[in-house]
Amino acid sequence: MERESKIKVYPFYFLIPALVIYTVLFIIPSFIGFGFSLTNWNSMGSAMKFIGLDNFKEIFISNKTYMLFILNTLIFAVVTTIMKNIVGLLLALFFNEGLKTKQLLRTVFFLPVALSPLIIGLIFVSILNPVTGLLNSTLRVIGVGILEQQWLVDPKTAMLSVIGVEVWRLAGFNMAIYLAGLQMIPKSFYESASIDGAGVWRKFINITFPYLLPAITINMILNLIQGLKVFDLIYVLTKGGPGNTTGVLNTAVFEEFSSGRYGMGTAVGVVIFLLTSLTAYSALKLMRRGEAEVL
Amino acid sequence: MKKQKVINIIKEVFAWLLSLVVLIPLMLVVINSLKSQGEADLMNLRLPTSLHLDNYMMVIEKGKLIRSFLNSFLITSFSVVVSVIVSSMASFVLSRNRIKFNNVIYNYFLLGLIAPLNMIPVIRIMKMLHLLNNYHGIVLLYTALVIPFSVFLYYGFIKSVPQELDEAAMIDGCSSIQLFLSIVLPLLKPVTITVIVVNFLGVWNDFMVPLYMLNRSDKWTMTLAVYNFYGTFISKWNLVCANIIMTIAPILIVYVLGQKYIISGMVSGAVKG
Repeated sequence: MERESKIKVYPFYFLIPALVIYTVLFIIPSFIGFGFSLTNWNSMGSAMKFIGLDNFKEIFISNKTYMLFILNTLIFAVVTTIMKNIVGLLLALFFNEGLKTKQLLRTVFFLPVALSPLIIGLIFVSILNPVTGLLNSTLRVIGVGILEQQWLVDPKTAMLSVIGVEVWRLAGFNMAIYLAGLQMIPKSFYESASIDGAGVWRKFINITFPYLLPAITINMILNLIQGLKVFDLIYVLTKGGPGNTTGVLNTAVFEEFSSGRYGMGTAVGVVIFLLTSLTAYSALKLMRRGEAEVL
Repeated sequence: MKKQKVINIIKEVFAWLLSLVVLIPLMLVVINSLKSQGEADLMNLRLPTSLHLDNYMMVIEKGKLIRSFLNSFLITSFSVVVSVIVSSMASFVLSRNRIKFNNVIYNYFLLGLIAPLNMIPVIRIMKMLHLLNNYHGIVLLYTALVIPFSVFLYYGFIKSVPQELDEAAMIDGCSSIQLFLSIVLPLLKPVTITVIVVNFLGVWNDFMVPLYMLNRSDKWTMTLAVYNFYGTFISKWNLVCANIIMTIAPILIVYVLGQKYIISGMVSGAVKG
């Protein structure tokens, strides 16, 4: 078709509803947020005033709690990303061959992805309860009571527990992506490698791993973004406690919002925005370069 | 060969034992939702001595769950319908006519896959537009939130629909709207089902938006109702469990019916990206 008739067949007004809704309620708030983050906007009655970078100074310099939140967010995002990928990959490699019920197993392991993080959080509040929880009572029953922990209550284990629940929730998603990646590897590659006398490990390094690189890239980036944005799960499990040990940026935003410090809350939101965009961008760049070198 | 068979059977058994890690937490909720309060205090996997279906009645009554269920259903359905309509239309034009301008718009939509929502300014804008504390406001917000992934899925799929169809239809004198509604949209059925299911799950499961925005209990969605119910009846796990079951029941139904579309949709969406 010619250019002119194409515009007639595929008119601009088809774009308008999606464009307007998305711009007004998603993009504009993000940009206005940059403006609000430079104010002392609050619910305490004083008029909104421009205060420059004061909010950001408080976040990055004067108030150490925010740096702790940033650090916790990064730890949560990075550790969950690595663990979800390892567990997901192991499950995928294990399920990929010889199992008759592979599809059904995939459905079962993917199920937590479909559930609300809030609900999963509630369930694990019960499971991780130090006294009555299923985890500790199981440890006691099978005779390894020494491993009992205070899980969400103990500042030392709280972050680890939260990370564990997140891995439980999304390992199945990573597995499904790896399974899809494994299916794209031609079987003949492994056969000819066997003829050449390659062992399991050699096959993994020389065939499986390079072919899975795109899947690894996707999983790394999706998990990192998801991890940096975490809110529901932590809010339900610990509300950021005990003693801020599991506090992340998004729980901080809600705290500021609840106490009426809107300008500050928006500023923390801006930090999440910058952190997420920067991470996604550089992770993509880095991984693509890695892929190009291997393939 | 025989040895391989034995290994496979062992593998299969082990895989299902492993799946208990996923299944037990869910079984725990089902079992305890049927216990008396005293039994449920311990939150273990022992079967209830007598079935307490009355837990469910109690939850419906005390948790005002019918109202919340309808709220969730209404908000989720409308968000799904609106997002399917606007995203499929937009993706159709973006995918078919790849002029520079449209490519820029497409990438602009994809920004939303990465960027987080800055909640406080969103609330401010919604207040300005009188979209706060009413159904259509929250439906529009959810639509805005799911547009990026929906457009992404549609855009990829539309590539596989032959463009010659459009030309033939135009020669027959179809308008753009006719072409889209009666010829293209029916061909998009597989991806539409995926978008419907994925958006249904996303909106139904969401907790953050209602937590920030719905402070009147007559507008609560299921997730918010469960959370507040848990806050009030913190030690009554039998009731909390019954409440959880009622919240995830629709999800489980959608998941079982649409799992093919969910997994393949989410995975292929991710892999193509």
